[in-house]
This record gives sequence, structure tokens and C-alpha cells, in this order.
Amino acid sequence: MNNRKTILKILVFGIYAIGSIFIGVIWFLNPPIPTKWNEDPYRIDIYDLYKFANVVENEQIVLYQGINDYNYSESSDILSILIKDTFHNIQITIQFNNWSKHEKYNIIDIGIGSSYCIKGKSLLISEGIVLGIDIVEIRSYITNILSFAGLAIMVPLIFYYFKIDFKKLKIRKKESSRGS
Amino acid sequence: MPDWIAHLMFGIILSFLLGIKGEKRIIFLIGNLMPDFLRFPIFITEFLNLDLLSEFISFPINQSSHSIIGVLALASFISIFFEGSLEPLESGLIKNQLISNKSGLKFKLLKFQSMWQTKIKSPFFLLFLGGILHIFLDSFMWPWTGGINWFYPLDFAMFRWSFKLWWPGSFDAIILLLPFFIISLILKGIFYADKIKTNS
Repeated sequence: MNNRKTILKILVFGIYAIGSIFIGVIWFLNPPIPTKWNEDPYRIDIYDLYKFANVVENEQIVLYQGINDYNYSESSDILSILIKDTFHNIQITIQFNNWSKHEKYNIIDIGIGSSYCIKGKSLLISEGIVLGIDIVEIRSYITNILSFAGLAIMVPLIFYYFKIDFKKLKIRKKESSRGS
Repeated sequence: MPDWIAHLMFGIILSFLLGIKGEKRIIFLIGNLMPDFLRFPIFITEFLNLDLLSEFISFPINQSSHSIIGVLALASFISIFFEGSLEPLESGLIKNQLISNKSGLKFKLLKFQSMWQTKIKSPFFLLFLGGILHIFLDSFMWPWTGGINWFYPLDFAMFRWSFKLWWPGSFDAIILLLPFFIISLILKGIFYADKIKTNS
């Protein structure tokens, strides 16, 4: 193996990893101004919602967030969802009117801690809330389970590629323990 | 992101189509999963409730890994482990000459595959190709989770692409890919049987 080439590759990856972390930290502390493409809503988080309230007011926004609390009022048929950003110490309320008649995707019950994609209209400056339009539950456990199943397929293939005999490894381990 | 089963299905379909065989296929499949390898730090930090670490380290790396720059860097790093391990290429050129005089769709396809195989020279290329196909498949998701930022670190909505076909955290991707997967397996079986017949 060409050592110089290997060092260069490790260097490229190192610069990429450190650069990503650096950019990520900058974006977290000082988020870029949100943009949107054609008719798509603004994709933002709670902090963006506060920081760029004048940009997104009365615009459609999308949040991908775990919820902290919710309250459903049967008499008014309104579902209020509370989302907090503990780092910046801010919170917003998303209000779904006519919740019982609302079309829901992938949702059995709203649950605290579950992750949701919420599309809404930002009314932040005027009313301090977001008017909910659509809500989708992101069941990441399905992705995780299927991904682990994928990993179970890949591990034997990698063993096959590197010609690693798992049984032999086991036998060797036993022999060495006897020796000691 | 779609799950790894969907990514593997997509990778297998394309490896049949592009004629990527044997050990090269394994590298190609690793490439198809590669951008998600950096999800493991997120998984661990979230499991350990290390929110700040997740926000400052795991999340930015995972976001950048789903971009052209990220795929290049990852392919460059992972290819170190596979460098020099591939056996010499099949004699694609000789194969080309043998089938060049024949006509018909089947021979045209074989010719294309043969030409392609001569182009696959390094694990880096296989990993890079797999990685690009990974983010291509991820681009079929609804963009509510952020979309795929192909040209990271440029952070404009116009660079976040989505074909809005399926939701993450569902079986949609597998269901949509399954017919193509079965067809490709059947076609592969037919070609393989045909090859055995020709050889004998």
C-alpha cells in the first residue's frame, strides 16, 4: 500500500470531519438566514423561528421536532403542542384547530418525546404561536430496526470479503486461554 | 433516511444493472450504506442523552456526510481498507472484442457491462458511486426532515433536493423498491442460466 496516499486520504477525512464540526457549531450558534425553494415551506427549528421571526412571519414553515407537552381541549377541538429549546431557553406553541377532523398521517396517538414533522403557518410576532396545518409522526425505530437488519446482512459479507473465518477466531481464543 | 434494507436492495439492483460482480459488489454495497455510518455517533449520543455532543458533533457530521463532499471524504477514508485487495480485472477488452461483432439487445447490454467493468478500477470509485447512489435514494424522501443538502456547506433551500416520494420511518421505500428488486433477480437468473448453457 502506498503510504503517502494513505496519509493523504486520512488527512482528507480529518479535514472534512473537523470542518463539518466547525461549520455545524457556527450554524448552531449563529444560524444562516432561512431560505425556501419555490412553493416549499421554510425548513427551520425553534431558534430560527425566533431569530428570523420577521422573515418567516405569515409564511409556511416546517419543524422536525420531538414534542415536550400537548393539550387537547375537547370542547374547542383544539390540540396545542408545546415544543421547547432548552439550550436557548425558548418555547413555542403549535395549535391545530378542528383536531378531530384533521387528516393525520402515521399517527395513532400524540406522545411526549416522539418526533414529528409539523407543517404550519408562522404567526409568531402577532400571536406567539404557529398555526398547525399538517403533522406526521416520524417512527425512527422502524428505520433503526431495518437498518440493524441490513447490518446483519453486511457483516457476514465483510467477513467473506476479508476472508475472516469466525469459527477459527473462536477456536484460537479457546486455545490461548488454555495456554495461559 | 430510508433504512439500510432499502439501500441494500437499491444497491443490489444497480450492481446487477451495472454488472458489478463478486468482491466489487461487496465494496459497492458498503458504499451504498457509507453515508449512514456517521449516524452511529448520533445513535450513541442520543442513547446516552448527551444532547450537546449530539448537537455540536454528531449532527453536523451526519448532515455533511449526505453531500458530495462528505461522500468523497468517506470514500477516500474507507477505501484505505480495501486498497490493493481487488483481484485483477476481468479481461473486459477481450470480452469486448468477442461480442463487438454481434448485434441484438442482449449483446449490446453485455458490451455495455464489459466496457463498464474496465472502468471500475478502484475501491474508491466503487465506494464513491455507492455513496452518491445512497444520497440519490435519500433524495426521494419528503424533505420535512431537512432534505438532502447535496452541495454542503452551501445552505440554500434550492440545493436541498427531494422527489417527495416516501416518508422516513416507514416501509414505503422497501415496498416501492420490491418489484424492481424481484424483476432484477429474475433477469439475473435468466442471464445466469443462459450463460451456463452457452458455456456448456
